Amino acid sequence: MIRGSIYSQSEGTTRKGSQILGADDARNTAVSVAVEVSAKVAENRKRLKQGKSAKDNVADLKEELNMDEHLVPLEELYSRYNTNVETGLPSAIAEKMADEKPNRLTPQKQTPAVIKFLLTLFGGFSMLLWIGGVLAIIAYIIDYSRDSGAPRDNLYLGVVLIAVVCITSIFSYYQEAKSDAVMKGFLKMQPQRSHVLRDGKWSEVDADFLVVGDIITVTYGNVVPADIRIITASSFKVDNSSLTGEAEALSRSPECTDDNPMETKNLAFYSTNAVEGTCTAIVLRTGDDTFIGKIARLVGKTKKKETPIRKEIRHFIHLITGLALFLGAIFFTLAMTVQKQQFLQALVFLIGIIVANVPEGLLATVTVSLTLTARKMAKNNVIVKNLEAVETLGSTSCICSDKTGTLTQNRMTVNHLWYDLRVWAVDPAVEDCFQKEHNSFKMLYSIATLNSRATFEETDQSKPLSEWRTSGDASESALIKFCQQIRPISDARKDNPKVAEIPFNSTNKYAVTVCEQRDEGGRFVVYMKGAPERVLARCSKILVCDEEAPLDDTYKEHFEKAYKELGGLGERVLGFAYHNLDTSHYPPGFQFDSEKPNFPCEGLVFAGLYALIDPPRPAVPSSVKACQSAGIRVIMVTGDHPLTAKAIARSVNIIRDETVDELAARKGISESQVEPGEAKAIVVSGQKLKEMDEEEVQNIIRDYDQIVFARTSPQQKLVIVEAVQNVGNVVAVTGDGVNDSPALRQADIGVAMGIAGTDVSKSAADMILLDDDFSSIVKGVEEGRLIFDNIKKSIAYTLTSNIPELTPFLVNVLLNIPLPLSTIMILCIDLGTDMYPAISLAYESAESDIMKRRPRDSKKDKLVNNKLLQITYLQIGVLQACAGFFNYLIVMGDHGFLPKHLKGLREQWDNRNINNLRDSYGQEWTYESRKNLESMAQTAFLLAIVQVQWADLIICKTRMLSILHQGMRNKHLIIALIFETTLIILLTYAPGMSVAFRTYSLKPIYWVSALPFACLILLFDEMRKLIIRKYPQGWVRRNLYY
Amino acid sequence: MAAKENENGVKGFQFRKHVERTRWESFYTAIYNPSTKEFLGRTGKSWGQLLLFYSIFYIILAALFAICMQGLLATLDDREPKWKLERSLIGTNPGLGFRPISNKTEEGSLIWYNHKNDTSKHKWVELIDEFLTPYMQEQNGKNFEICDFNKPANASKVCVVNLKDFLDCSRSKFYGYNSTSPCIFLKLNKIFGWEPKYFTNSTSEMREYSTEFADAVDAEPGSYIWISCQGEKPVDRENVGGFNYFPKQGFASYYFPYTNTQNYLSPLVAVQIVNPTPNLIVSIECRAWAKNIIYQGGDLQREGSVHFEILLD
Repeated sequence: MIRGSIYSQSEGTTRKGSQILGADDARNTAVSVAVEVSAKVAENRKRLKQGKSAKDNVADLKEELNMDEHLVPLEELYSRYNTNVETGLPSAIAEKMADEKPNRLTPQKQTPAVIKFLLTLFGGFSMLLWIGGVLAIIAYIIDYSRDSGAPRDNLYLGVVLIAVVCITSIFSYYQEAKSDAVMKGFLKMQPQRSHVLRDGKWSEVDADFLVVGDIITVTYGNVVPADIRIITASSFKVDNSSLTGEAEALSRSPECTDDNPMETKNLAFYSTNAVEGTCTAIVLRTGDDTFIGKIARLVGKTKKKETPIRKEIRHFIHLITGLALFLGAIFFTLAMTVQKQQFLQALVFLIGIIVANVPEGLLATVTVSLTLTARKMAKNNVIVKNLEAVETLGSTSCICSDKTGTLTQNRMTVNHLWYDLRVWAVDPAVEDCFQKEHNSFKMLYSIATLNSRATFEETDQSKPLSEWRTSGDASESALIKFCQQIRPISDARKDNPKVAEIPFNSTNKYAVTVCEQRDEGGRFVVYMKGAPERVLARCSKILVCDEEAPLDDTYKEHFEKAYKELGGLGERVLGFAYHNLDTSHYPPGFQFDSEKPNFPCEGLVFAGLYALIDPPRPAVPSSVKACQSAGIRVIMVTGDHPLTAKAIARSVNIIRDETVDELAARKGISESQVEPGEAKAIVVSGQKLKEMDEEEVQNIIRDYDQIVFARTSPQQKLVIVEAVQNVGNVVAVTGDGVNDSPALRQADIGVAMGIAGTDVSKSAADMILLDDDFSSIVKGVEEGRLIFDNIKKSIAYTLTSNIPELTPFLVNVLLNIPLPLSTIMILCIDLGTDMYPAISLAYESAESDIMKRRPRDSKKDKLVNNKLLQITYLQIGVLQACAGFFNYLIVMGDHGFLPKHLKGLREQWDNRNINNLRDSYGQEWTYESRKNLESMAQTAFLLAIVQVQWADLIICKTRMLSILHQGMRNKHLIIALIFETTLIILLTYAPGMSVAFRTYSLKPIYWVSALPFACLILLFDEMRKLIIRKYPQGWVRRNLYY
Repeated sequence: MAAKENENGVKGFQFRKHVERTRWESFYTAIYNPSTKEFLGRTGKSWGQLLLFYSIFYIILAALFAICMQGLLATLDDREPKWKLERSLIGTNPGLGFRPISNKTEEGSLIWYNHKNDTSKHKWVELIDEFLTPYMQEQNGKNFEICDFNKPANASKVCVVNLKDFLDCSRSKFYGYNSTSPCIFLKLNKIFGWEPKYFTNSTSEMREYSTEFADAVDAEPGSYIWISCQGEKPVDRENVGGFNYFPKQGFASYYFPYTNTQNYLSPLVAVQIVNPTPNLIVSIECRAWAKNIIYQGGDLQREGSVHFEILLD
């Protein structure tokens, strides 16, 4: 079909692409991986319209590939670098070189602190406040130039506004700097030491001081300190997993085995781990020139996407700024033209409108909320590098998870046994559990214990057995850990000393030991362990129920079936056999020769199979389920074998239904005949992925619900992440390797592993799981969603009071009444009484099970949408304004200025020379006394706002539930209410406040008048929520639910 | 869809095609989308429903607010303010006011005129005319009566303020603005129910202030809130020829207390400033004297006194 043609076409282009870059290796080799990653990154950057520098980087990489240091004879290398294999570099020269070019990665260029600070100082709402502040000072200067006795109110306001901008900027800058610092501490690497030959002497220096041409030794356990070429090696093995994702340790030797630098055995790369043996080597590249250095640098240059929450806040700031400027401009012109106000007066309106519109404290509130959540997450072992990432996790709709170490324990464990022609489970909870009394099992125990080079490096009884450190490879470690539970292996080994041994090698694929059975009178036994089919081939009998039966075809069939079954579970299967040597041929004291085996390795008795697996972490299956019920897709992306990947995916619930290949097998058709959508699950191997183009990958993501990508290269990881994003997901990626870093960067939120992760991956990530545990991500998702909801509530709460702050100025202009609320008082609310309550909403618990909800659609579910603005501005806000004006009118009326009298009074009211302004009762007020009255009326207005904000805080606790359901369990919110009230009492009654804020003591009666409005707000909102709950599809729900 | 190749031959990935709209198109469709007939994101019906909701919402809100206002007004009396004297912010220390005040705010309390220039003269005369309008009405009949110390006004009656008593400062003399000795009018702010406590004799404070004033107080029988004016600083005093007060040097007691009686007129004192030095700003301060009038000078929070400047061209 159409797909077929796409395959061939895309294959062609892929080939061509890699050829040009010099990696025409048909296999999925590490180098093509690396090149493609880099090319991919470069491409990304190109997309960001940084075309030129991207080209430079591609050129850079070509140079990397043109390296010939692994090809030329060593002697030529020595002369090229002026070094000597006997004496090394002269230390004077080496030290000078190290000074000039230390062997370390240049940290990513950070935006200078000053620029960061300036951005916070002038970004967001700051600009509006600057305008307000400067206008206020201009107003004062104009006023002062006319009358040196002008009141300093405007000057004071201007200074306060500028101070507010500065303080909030310093605050948010400090918060950001603090989370940066957490990261820096985290990234501080242990200084590596390295053995180096200089001036003919071996010494240990800081790896930072290594230079090109140095002769060094690397021993197992070390990190390779630079890109090196091996001179001599003894069973030297490196773990390239951080570089290529390959899990197996690779042996390294002096021979050049491949033109390809990544493939050849005589090169080892910076930051990979030496896991076995030792070597001497010559340093070829250091620091940023190393392979890793280049990737790290490219990663650093990849632009990070804007986080969803930042996008939302930007949207919100634009909205509010637009509104402020719009209203400001309208009323400024209105005041100037229609009302024929003086410029100065109009300016004061403008400032008031700006200040009222800007929620000064809101950005700080958001920052604090995010910080609180980040702190909560830190307790769950999740370190958040970028504060905003806290919320990103909540918006996540797809998690591309690594398998090893994240979903699984990264610890091989015995999972099944096969003996007596049956598969036995190891888990005692399962019915078919093995019994250690079975004789066949006893034999399996002996073989696993005695045919093993693994030992415990510690026997710390306080730690669980599974965490004991062992020497030896993963399988042997798993076996001895399993055996240790049955009987301490040291006892078994003491009773059966090893007398000869043929170690495992890749041609034989088995290992043999000969042990002396002390308690059987010194009889010798041959034990064999290895690849099951190889071991079986060397057996003539089989142990069945304590009897050694001849190995016939029926038994072989049994074996085949079991082997296939266990293999199908993705388990690594090992075969075990033994042979009791005849004492007459091999009497006690017989000398065995391991080099030239003088004992039989054939005609053995097959004992059984061990099946091992890296088991999922215990909490993972339920965590994956939690993600799925939260509408988050979990896609496994692993470098492991498809069968293993599928088995793990199934056991952790990533795959729940029949996969495409299973369906095909059941129906007896080929996989390509399975229609998309017919099966829900699919396992895509890297090989298949390579043949697809972007669109096809996207189709897979759309068509299948449960997806596993196996045998993928890190480059493909990036492709997958991009495809998932382009389908419209917010993607979280987990990873630990260097080559995962581009994918971590590309992801909306990159999650690095704290234990297994490389530093480069950690620095590319936004979040670090200290315990490498997937279930921490689920916690993070929950926290992220909660904080999004709660920030929404905070914003709703804060924005509501904008209307009672704004309307006084509008009414002041339109009706010319004495100003009902001063600008300073607006600041008292925004930065005083409203602050703590808004923050306390961050502690609000979820209304419903937020993990049963779908992730938010970033295109539709905005943080601040028109419904929220309607409810806050047009409904609750208006109610609040009514309360404020009511209080104001009461104070004015009680003192003699009846409402109808106030209209048009402003000009005379504010005229300092009129000292006998008449009220409705003919009384005449001096400027001073009526300004006191104004202060009192304004204070009453302020009090009313605080009182209705009590109600607002309570209604903002929930978006849908009744407050009666939600309860008042948020103790921070209760403290906030008390705080708010205390603050308004202080503002009203404390000495000195009347000077600072122009407040005036209020009679107790004025504490009552706004309360009906507060009740009205509670009632109105409860009603709205009731209707929303009752009619989930109704008009109210559609139009009045934010 | 074919995968694109860029100049490096690196395979470029194909992205989902978005419906490309120019800025203008997306702006235009945001305002009116012809395919869905949506205006600003809502259909006509949807706008209608919203409008209906808000109409009902605001009507109910307005009604509730009106009820509250009615409640408020019900607690208020037509004649008497709810809070009076010390319970009210108006206090018990009535402010002293003067006229004429320029209607240009920036001129402040400066009276600047040239008695030979008709325009400048008339400006002030008209301002005073305006101020005196309530006093010019027919004060016969209605509830007016002529009061003296033996015959204070009954309740519901008010005392006459006779403009003819101002003599040199009367309308016929252009309130002094056709000469070099202009008049200003002093008036005490009305405070509902405020009753002055009079000085019947001079006090040491008055004598300290000015012996001339103290003598004048002693010479005058009857209860008055006394008025005294002088140059604010010694320099100013040298530049003023003296002051004449009409009809008396104070506000007679029978005008008090003010109880918002209909047609009530505040008593006035016209002060003639005799020949201030021309071409010089002369600052003058006038004080009102009663036991319960607290005096405070200075620019800020002036009490029981008033300040103005005279500049003669």
